Amino acid sequence: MEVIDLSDLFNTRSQAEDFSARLELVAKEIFETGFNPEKALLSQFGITKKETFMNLLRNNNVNAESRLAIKEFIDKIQAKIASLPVMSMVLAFEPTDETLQAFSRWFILNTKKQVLFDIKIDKTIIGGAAILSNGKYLDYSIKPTFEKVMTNTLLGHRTPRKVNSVSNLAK
Amino acid sequence: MPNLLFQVITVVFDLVIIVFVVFYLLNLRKKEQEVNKRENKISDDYRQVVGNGMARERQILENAVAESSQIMQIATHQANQVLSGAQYISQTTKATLDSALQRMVVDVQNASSNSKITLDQALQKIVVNVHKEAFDTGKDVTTSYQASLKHMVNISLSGFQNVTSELELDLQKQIKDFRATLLTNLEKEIELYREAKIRRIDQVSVGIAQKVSQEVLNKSLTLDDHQELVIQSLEKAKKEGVFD
Repeated sequence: MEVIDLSDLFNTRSQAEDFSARLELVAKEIFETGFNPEKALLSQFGITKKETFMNLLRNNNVNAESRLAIKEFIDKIQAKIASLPVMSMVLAFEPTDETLQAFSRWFILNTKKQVLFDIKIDKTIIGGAAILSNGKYLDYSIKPTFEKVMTNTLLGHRTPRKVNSVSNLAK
Repeated sequence: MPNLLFQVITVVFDLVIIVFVVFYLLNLRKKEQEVNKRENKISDDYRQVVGNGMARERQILENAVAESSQIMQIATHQANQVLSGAQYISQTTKATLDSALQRMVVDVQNASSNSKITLDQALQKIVVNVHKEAFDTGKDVTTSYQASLKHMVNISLSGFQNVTSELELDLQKQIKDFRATLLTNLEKEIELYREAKIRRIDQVSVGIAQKVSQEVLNKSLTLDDHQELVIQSLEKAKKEGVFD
């Protein structure tokens, strides 16, 4: 399957599901009388994503006048969405769309594949990210390092206490 | 004629003598009767005196016996009370007391059979003796009771001293054992408890400090900082082959 970068359209699993549902509605209108792809995309996704999608058609050499070509491309995108892996991540902050896009681009650049993020927020990890993979919690946040430094700082200076023996007191 | 005179004189003299003799006899008889009367009277008086004496004797004897019985009863009762109250008075003492009382009764009975003249004295003596015996017996009983009590007190005191000594020794042993075993264990437990508490306090302190620091640090990071940290985390994960 050729690489189609959909990171400008969606980055999370919920966004992908929403996009897929709206795209399905567009697909149903394709063969109706008076179908206008730009109008249909505009009504479903808004102007920004409509432009992004039209660019995507052009970049993939899809004839925007051909209803059949559009239908085939939509089906390809639906298949692509269904095949995208989901990356569960724990973040310490609420990411913006731009931030998610940046993370998505990092994945495309470094792993040659797009992923759908399933984001959970946990501020106790302070910063960085923890990844849930195959049921394992892989903590790459700065929390472990911070805790280590904190513990060493707070407890490292402690010296063992000399305990007064009760028997000595009794004597 | 002189003979006649002599004869007359003789006759007269004889008559006088006879009269005198008769008179004397009559007088003697009268005296005898008076004597007999007096004798009878004396005899009656004697019998009356004897009867009175016997009655009095019997009364005194009965009174003495009753009194002695009462005294004996009182003494026996008191002795029984003393004996029942004090378990340490021996049966021998009681037997002795009973024997003495019996002897007193016998003495009283014997005394009653003594002469009539010394009866009062004898009875008085017996009463005195009975009193004395009762007093002596009571005194003996009291002395014996006091001795028994003293003995018992001595035994109790001795026993108490023994118990106290044993208790003291036992306490010393317990204190020694306590110091030897329990105290050591107690010290260990206290030390463990203390260490656990200190650990807990340390954990709580660190936890609080961490939580506060985490929140402060988290809020102090900008969006770009967060983004940069996430990218670093992803690169670390990539190095570890998480995405392969």
